[in-house]
Amino acid sequence: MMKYVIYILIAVSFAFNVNAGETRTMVLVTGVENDFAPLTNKELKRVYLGLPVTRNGEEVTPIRNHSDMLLHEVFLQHIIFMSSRNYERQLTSKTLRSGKKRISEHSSHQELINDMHMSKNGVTYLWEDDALKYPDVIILQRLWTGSAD
Amino acid sequence: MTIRRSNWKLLLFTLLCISTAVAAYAEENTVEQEMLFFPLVHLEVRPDISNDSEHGNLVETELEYGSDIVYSGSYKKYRLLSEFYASIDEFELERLQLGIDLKPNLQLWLGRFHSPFDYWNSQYHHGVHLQSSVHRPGIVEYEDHGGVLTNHTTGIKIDGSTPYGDGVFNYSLALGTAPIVKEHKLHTWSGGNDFSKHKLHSIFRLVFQPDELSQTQYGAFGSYTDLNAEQDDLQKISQVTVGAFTFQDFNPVSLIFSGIYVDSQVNESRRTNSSGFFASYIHVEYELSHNWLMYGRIERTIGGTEDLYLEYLDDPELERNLAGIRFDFTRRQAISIEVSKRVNDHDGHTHISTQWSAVFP
Repeated sequence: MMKYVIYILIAVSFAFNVNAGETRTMVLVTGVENDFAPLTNKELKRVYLGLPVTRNGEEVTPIRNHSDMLLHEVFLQHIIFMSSRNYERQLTSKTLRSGKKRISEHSSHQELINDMHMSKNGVTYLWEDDALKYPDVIILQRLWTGSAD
Repeated sequence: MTIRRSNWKLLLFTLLCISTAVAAYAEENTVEQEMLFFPLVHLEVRPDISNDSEHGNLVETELEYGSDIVYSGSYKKYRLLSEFYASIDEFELERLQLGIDLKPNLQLWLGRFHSPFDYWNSQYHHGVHLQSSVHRPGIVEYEDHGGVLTNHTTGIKIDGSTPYGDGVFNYSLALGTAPIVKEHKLHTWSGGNDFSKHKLHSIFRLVFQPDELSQTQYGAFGSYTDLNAEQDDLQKISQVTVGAFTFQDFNPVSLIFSGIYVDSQVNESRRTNSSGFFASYIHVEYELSHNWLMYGRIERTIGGTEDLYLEYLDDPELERNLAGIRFDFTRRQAISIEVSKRVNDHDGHTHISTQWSAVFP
């Protein structure tokens, strides 16, 4: 009996270890209707700070993804290099100064994808395995790869 | 700018009609609009130093609750920005400005706006949730809260920017109405028929960000203001203000330093005298974690206690020490606790402030 308990415990710990070590990739995506070159790291930070970046004569429209907490943290730490408080403060302060709307955000994938298609040169970020589920979305570039723990 | 109840209902109705029309138009066209709410509940506790304290309370409390409401709209090259503060007791129009993009990096604004001086005034406006501390530095306090400088003006403003390497120069030039000194406070023009009493306020501000993608910046400004007076034997004050500031981002620490010199020529009925004072503050923040932030600030003046201009105002709070802690318990809401103490010839008592602030949506 004890032998079986030990086997079960080993199997369970193995399962947790596999999940903890799972690698995920964050990608920048746009709609299939768009055709433009990937953004540089600087352009990516620039566009998500509300500063203009153009492709094919039109401004790129960034959209924020709030569907996944880990994705949001990776975005803040590896794209924006700011805390959530500072980032939100900067975006809102810009609206109070300039009168321009804040960068839109969605916590549902479908709303995110819909908004991206409706925006001119719309871009957003997803986990790669989520992006591959949408045939009308193309991956522009890989932004980050790492362990999900 | 306090609006009478009969007028604010009409103004609110007008704005509701405008935003509804804009929303309907936005269905078919590229109109972008947003409404932000910055609610707050502020409780301040301070020693009761009035004569009644012998018979009653040792402390007095002040509770304030309300919401700053910001509407922003843009259509092609046009922009509309309005800001109101609403509470049970008042409905104040803080800003109402119409903008036009003359070029991609050059905007012309008409209306009532914040005078673009210092870092704090241009960065946070009335959205208290954006600033880390409960109280603004005394030198940039609003006129109706005992402020000593022109915060709100009605007129014309140009905002522009010019890239420089990886950085950018941002500049603002504004011409508008100056407040009046009355009842020991500054009173801005509130849309009434006393426009001619409000003289000129002019200001130029230049800011350099070495890296446009970083918050670090260096700024300077200079202004000339003619203040009419309706108080005692005071007739007019001509004021020149110059200042410099910096915001330094050393993540997780950030620092704001500002120094402002105010030179006033005070015209009384029988004499004219000049005086000046220097005010500065240094504000430091330390992010303990994603949710917790500590901050401290020191505010001082040189010549402030003897300044002729300040003597005509009601005991402005320009010198104090304060420290606090802020907890952002959700992405949109925070609670702050702050302890402050006035120094140098003031009551020296400790004030404790607690504030809940938020931004929706």
